[in-house]
Amino acid sequence: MSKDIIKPGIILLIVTVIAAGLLGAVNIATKDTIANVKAKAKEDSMKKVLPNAESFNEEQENDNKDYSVIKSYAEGLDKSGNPVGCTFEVSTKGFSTGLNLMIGITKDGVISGVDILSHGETPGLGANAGEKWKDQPKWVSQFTDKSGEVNVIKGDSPKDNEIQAITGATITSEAIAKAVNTASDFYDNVIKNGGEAKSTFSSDEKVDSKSSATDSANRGGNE
Amino acid sequence: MNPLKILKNGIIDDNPTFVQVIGMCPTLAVTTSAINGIGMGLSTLVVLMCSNMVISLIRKFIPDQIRIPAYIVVIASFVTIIQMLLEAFLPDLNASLGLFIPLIVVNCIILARAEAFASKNGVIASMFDGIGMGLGFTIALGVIGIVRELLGNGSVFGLTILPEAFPNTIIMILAPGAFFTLAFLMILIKKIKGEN
Repeated sequence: MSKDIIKPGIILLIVTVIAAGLLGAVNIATKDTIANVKAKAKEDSMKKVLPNAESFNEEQENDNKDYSVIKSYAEGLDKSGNPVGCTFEVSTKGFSTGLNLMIGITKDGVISGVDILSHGETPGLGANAGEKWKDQPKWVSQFTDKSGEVNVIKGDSPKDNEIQAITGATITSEAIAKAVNTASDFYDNVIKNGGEAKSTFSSDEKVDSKSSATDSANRGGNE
Repeated sequence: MNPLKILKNGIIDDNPTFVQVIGMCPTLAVTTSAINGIGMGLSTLVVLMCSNMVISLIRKFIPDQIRIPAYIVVIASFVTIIQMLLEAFLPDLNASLGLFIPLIVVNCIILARAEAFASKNGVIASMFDGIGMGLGFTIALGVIGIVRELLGNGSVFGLTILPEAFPNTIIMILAPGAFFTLAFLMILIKKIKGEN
């Protein structure tokens, strides 16, 4: 009886040890390459959302709790080293978790680009944010060249600072618009203020850190 | 066994989706568009082929009592290794397929084929079984994806086909649409085969 337990146990141990060994070996072999690929993808994304920048200052982690959706930011510089704007890496929640965006804003407060790094939105609905949209290359291209606070509308004919929501994916649309607005506020209130947040900042944005789908959905009503 | 017969078995006679009705989780979840369905199908094909071969190779060493945990370890390790390799060396492919890879681990087709076929047959036969089942799965997911994308989004493979005036039925790309499509396709297949 005990033989029936020990022998299979040892064989299973051997199988798992071999599997663990292989996984470890592949992990060691690919770790650095994966890190490089990710870093490059991020850099490409930063260049895409802030096309005027020739180079970027080192990325800075954001530790401001009022803007906890903003993970990090990097200042973009032109050829002669003058700042042209900032890129923000934002990690927020759309219809599902894990909506990661790269947002570029020029020093004049104009949105120079929005790029989706990764997302878990529904394919065919929220995921269309990264797809072709009407005459624009992507839905998020609608944000380009807008400034100030951007609002999401349902239906056609958006005005100057309005973005047309994705059909059937209003929550995703509003979550992205909110992320862009938060990045704009962060740039105006924190970075341009030398890292100190204005005390007048509305408490509405603070909810953001715990943002839930309903928060994003209700946002239009709160403001 | 004749390799062609094994292939035909996987694609038609024992089609994993329409006949065996296994692997429903990815079938329902990812078939919102034709390209997603085929991407998931092909990723599964590769993993299924490799895992079938490995399990067939080690089938003589694995005692019966521990075969299931041993298969799960083999399959999960395979999927993880493939994911890491894709991420490192084929980042473009990873960007489009990366989403599906972790889903393969929980796909019961892999375990079902390991148990039903690879643990009883030789390496070459198991490889063909993996290819056949993988193709059957790919075709099924592709067809479901085409129907749902056409009705839900008016397009196939991202190309708009239906005229603007034709209303898009959004429910078709939501979860219920997957059940509707699958049910109607299964009815259709039974009719064609002459079963009632």
